[in-house]
Amino acid sequence: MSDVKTLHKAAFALESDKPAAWGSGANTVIGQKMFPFLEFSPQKTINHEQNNSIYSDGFKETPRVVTNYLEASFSHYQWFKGPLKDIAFWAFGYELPPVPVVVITADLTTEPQQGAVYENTAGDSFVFLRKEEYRDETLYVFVSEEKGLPGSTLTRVSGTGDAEITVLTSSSVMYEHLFELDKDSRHACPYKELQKPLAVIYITASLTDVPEEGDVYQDENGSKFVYAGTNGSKYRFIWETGNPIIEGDLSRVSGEGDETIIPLTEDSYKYEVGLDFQDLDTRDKCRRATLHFGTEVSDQRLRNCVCKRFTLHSEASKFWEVTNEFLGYDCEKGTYFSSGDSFPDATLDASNIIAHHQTQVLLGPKNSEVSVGITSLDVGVEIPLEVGQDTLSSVYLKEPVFNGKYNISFNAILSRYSSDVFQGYRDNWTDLIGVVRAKEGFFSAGYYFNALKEAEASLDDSEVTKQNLNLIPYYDSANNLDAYFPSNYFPQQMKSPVLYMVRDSDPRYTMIERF
Amino acid sequence: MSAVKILTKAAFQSQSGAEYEETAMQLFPITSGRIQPNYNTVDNEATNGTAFKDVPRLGNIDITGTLSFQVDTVAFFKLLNVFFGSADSDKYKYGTNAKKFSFVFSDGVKVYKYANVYPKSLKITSSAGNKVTGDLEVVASSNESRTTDIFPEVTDYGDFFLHSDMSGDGFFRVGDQDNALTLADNLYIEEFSLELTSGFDSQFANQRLSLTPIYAMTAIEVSGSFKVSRYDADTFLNWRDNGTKLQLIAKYVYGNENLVIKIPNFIIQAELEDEDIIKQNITLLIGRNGYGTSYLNSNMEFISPIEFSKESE
Repeated sequence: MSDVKTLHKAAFALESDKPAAWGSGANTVIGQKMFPFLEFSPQKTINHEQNNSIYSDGFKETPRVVTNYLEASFSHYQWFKGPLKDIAFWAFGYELPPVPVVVITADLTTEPQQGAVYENTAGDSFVFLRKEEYRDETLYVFVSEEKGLPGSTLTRVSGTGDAEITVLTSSSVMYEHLFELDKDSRHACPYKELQKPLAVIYITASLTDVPEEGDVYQDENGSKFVYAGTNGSKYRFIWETGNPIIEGDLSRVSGEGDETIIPLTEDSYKYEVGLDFQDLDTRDKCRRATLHFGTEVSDQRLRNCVCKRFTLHSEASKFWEVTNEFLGYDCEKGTYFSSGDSFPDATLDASNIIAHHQTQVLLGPKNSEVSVGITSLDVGVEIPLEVGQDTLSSVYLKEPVFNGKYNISFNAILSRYSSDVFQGYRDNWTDLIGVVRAKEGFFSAGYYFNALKEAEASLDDSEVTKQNLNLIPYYDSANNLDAYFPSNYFPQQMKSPVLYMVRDSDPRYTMIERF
Repeated sequence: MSAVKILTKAAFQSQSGAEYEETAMQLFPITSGRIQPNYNTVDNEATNGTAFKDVPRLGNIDITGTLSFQVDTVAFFKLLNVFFGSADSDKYKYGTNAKKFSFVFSDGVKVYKYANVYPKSLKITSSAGNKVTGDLEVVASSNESRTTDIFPEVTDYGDFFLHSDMSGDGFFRVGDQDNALTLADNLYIEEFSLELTSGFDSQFANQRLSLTPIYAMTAIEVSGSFKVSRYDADTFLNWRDNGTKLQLIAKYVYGNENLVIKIPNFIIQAELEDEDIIKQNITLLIGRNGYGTSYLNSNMEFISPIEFSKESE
């Protein structure tokens, strides 16, 4: 049967975070990991070396293969829902633990202060995170650690803001996933410093001798937990072995705290970064993925694929398009897709695709950023990777590592030039922040730029003059986006010049929880 | 209010001092383009323990622009005055040039003022059925000033020339240098274009803006071409083969101010076009007309490789 593009299939699966040696460890399970793509053309780079010896005739021999690796790209629309966060992690390289939030609409007199605590009638706490003002509505985002819903009324417990908030509409519990570019590596390697996420359980208990950090306890099933200090009135235990659920009482294994700890309350485990005891978990950072590509002739399994470039393009009357370029180890051909493999439900509905008209672009100095009219924008990240071979890699690539610094670009076309404010930013080399985000209901996805300079603000020659903005993201260790991502909930490890945040209903921690 | 192209306007004058001047502004028949500063950034390449680049710095500011305009009976000659540096009885040709422009643009948002604007190149294009157009490339050694000032008083531009103005009392003549060109040397041409450099260019040193350009800091080059409408004689091919030295006069006649272009000394490349009606593409390889007062072509007594003039009736 001849091959037809419209009948092609593709699936994307992150490889294990206990990575196998480079060249192996493909994730062979497809399941619901199919994704709708626009362009996908698996290509191999195969280099040959010619025998240039003189044989006293005019003929050449067939050359020999000396290099054989994958170098290809695929593109897709960006979606508010669905598993494309796996691709986002693969592209960015690092993800913070998801933050549970609820989003409401309300008529407020006084906007809450960031960190103000509210309670619903059931006593669940909600901590005000940020206000999001869009063209059609204003949303108020609260952290909901207890994963409760606000109900009809929220009452302020601490901080400033309206004493009572009447909730007009509310989301269900959602999760904000924040992705950072990895500043340290792109290959499979251990986490650095305090980057590794650890499973943490908070309990309340009545203690006589409070343990010291590092004391080990085990529950009735033999699962082990390491004491790691307090957070407010709660005691923090880092899960080490067994199940991350404390069953029954905790018995001391080492240290000098209480021999037995009886938990009065126990929170569900969650992941945290920024903690000591990084050796407790055996995970590594693994930004490799296996892509499956199915045609009418055969399927291909592309293993150990690493992202080397990704771009977003959005323009008026179109959808967001993301293009990813990658290097990979090798591919096999066979029959890999089965009738049971499928797309996630969300990707079957085009209303979940992000469109330009749902996009908001904010630009300006910190705390003075304003919404601007953009007809076209491009965000791009180039990840310089070494493409090399040696005597250990055979004809394949060595595992690509950093070969330079990221090249991050952000270009936008202002739909109408009506003020010289952007020329002023250029002339004065003003520090700016930028946001490119879209929303549908309470769902959101967006790129956030921590520090920008404007290099170009030229005027074009069209009938209605437009302005070309060339913004340069750069590294600034200050948290200029604290109004959006306060460090107590988003303890950024990389201080990445560009962040990507997705707010959806999926609690899965993409960086470490495979599906 | 947003900037809308049809509501924009530009003007210039010959600037005599060191600052922007707008006392004698000429409305410029601009069709597109504007002068803008191009900011060059210089990357911070130092390693900082991360894969992220630190903040870059702003480097040179290159103030340039290419302004497309209609060649007209009024503004064009004032432009030539600055491009060539002088006007001798309404004749404009190369010589020492110490002139520069002040330019002003209004786009409905701001009034942009540019001082110390130097011509870099000039291109003239004339083709059958169309108006004669020009592209002026400029460089500036002062940054733009964006103001809310009122657009200055200006002298209006004149009517534009058409390619067909080289008929009637107008003409396009090419011939050898044995005698002055006459009616017998008239040609029918579909296209005619010229490119001239001014001898000015930007130059950067230990400051962000360009140094003040100096005349002849770059080579002065004049080149051109035209397309003869029909191939009905081997004249051009023979001139090409023999390297015959030629001369050219193009005269546009419209209204009371006529534009005359003289090229005293050139040889040609010639090739036939492969179309249903065979045409001839002629490229001019232009040189100076002698040295001092010793003219290679005594029919045009000037050394400059080209001369523009305004003939009033």
